[in-house]
Amino acid sequence: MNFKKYFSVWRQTTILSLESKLSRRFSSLIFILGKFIRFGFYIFSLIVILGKTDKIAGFNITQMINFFLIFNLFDLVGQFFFRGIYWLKGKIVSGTFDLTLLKPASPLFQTLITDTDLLDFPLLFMVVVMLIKQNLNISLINLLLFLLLFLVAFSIITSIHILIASLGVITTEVDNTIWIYRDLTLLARVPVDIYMDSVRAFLTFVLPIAVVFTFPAKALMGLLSWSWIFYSLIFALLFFIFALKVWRFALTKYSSASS
Amino acid sequence: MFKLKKYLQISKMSWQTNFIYRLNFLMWRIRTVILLLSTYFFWYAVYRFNSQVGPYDEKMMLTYILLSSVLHSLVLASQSFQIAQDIATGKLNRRLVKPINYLKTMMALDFGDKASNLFFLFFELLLIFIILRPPFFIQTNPFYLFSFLAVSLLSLFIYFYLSLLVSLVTFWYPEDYGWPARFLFMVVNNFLSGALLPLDIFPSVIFHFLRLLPPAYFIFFPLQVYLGKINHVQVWQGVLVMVFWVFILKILSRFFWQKGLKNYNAVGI
Repeated sequence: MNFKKYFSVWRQTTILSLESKLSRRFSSLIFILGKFIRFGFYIFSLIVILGKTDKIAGFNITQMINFFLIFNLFDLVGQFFFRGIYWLKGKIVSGTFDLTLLKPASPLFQTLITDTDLLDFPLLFMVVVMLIKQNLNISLINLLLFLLLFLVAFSIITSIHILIASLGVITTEVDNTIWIYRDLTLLARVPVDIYMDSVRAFLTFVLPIAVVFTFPAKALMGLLSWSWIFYSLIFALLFFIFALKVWRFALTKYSSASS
Repeated sequence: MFKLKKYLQISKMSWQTNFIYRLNFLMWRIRTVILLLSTYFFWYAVYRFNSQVGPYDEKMMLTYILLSSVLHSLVLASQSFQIAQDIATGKLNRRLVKPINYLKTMMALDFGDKASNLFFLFFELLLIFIILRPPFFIQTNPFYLFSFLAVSLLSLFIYFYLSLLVSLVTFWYPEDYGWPARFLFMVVNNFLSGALLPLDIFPSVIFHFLRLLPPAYFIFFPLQVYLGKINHVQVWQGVLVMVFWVFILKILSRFFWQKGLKNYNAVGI
């Protein structure tokens, strides 16, 4: 991998994406406003619900807000970097994916990363600021563990997007699959510890929503054991290798619509 | 009679369209179930640690959540967003020259879509009831049952006209195929309709304000009726408010439809 070349491609496509958003300023503003309103509604609802209940699964209101903020952090990071996947179906159906394959850059890179969604940035920035304000007194070891699990989470999010892209290449079905993933992640707005055993097991071992959203938050608050940290590292590595293999297989099944 | 047959045929077409891309449709149904389950599991977990949240015990809340999915499929799932796309892309040109009323056609498409949603949701809910056996409140009072059906039907019309008004914004602002206004509408609706949580959980000042707005009648109010949380007089008052909203929104949408057509650029001609 030539990182300098790919960084340069990413920077250029991000600048183009920004220019495109700026050419439609009013629409962009409405989208940003909608994202802030949705975030505000959710956090307000969570505070209202928690205000009317005792602790849920032993977590207090500050911890629950931390979980919610970290859910938003990873949700937004995924959308910020990987928005390109939402347009994959159109490319495959119209046959323009052929052009992606012909360019001298990884088709996977082009599919996932070449449409950075800068409309997510303002909310992402606010979430990071809120997280820092909420966690000013954390220890260095918790911070380092959080950063380590941030990388793990990012790797798993990338793998999930690779798998969705692979399914898209094979079946042309992307739109609903990405939304199924996003709907499932909604379960992680709160720590998965509150759910019944079967749901928790599913979200930890089958679809690693817990590893992506709950574990980093727990690490930040010093609530995650070392065994789960090792599990996360190994899972992320194996999952990433698996996703890449599926992607390579998917490319062999691609049939060009335009040829 | 002939006119009605024509629109019935359009509703049937809307139903059949779902089965053209079967995998897509299957994924859409899976999404519907996952969305329902994510809300259900959240509230189920909350009630593992609390017996009461606001005015709701576990049975009432889970009934609310399960029935809100039905109303979501019946009321909030709509094809009226297509109107914005037709305007922005110029497809409206083709539709306007056909010897059928465009808005009635869209309403018929909407009904077909809702019918298919309800049909499949019935089996999905059946499966959920068999597997999870959730506590469920069955309303036996005929007044509340009949009123629930009536207000659900009225809410369907309020939503259609409100959604139509949002689509009509595209006549003046066609950028992004009308999605900015639609996105904002969906975000606001999702919360103000009570789809995620009952509005009476909010502080009373906010609740009393929210219940006056049209979205409160999409999901929250019909479920208050089903759960018998309001008395007969309040049900009738609600019905009157809903009729008022249908009337006002219908007039407004007709007015803006006519205005919009004058402003229409007919892209593509």
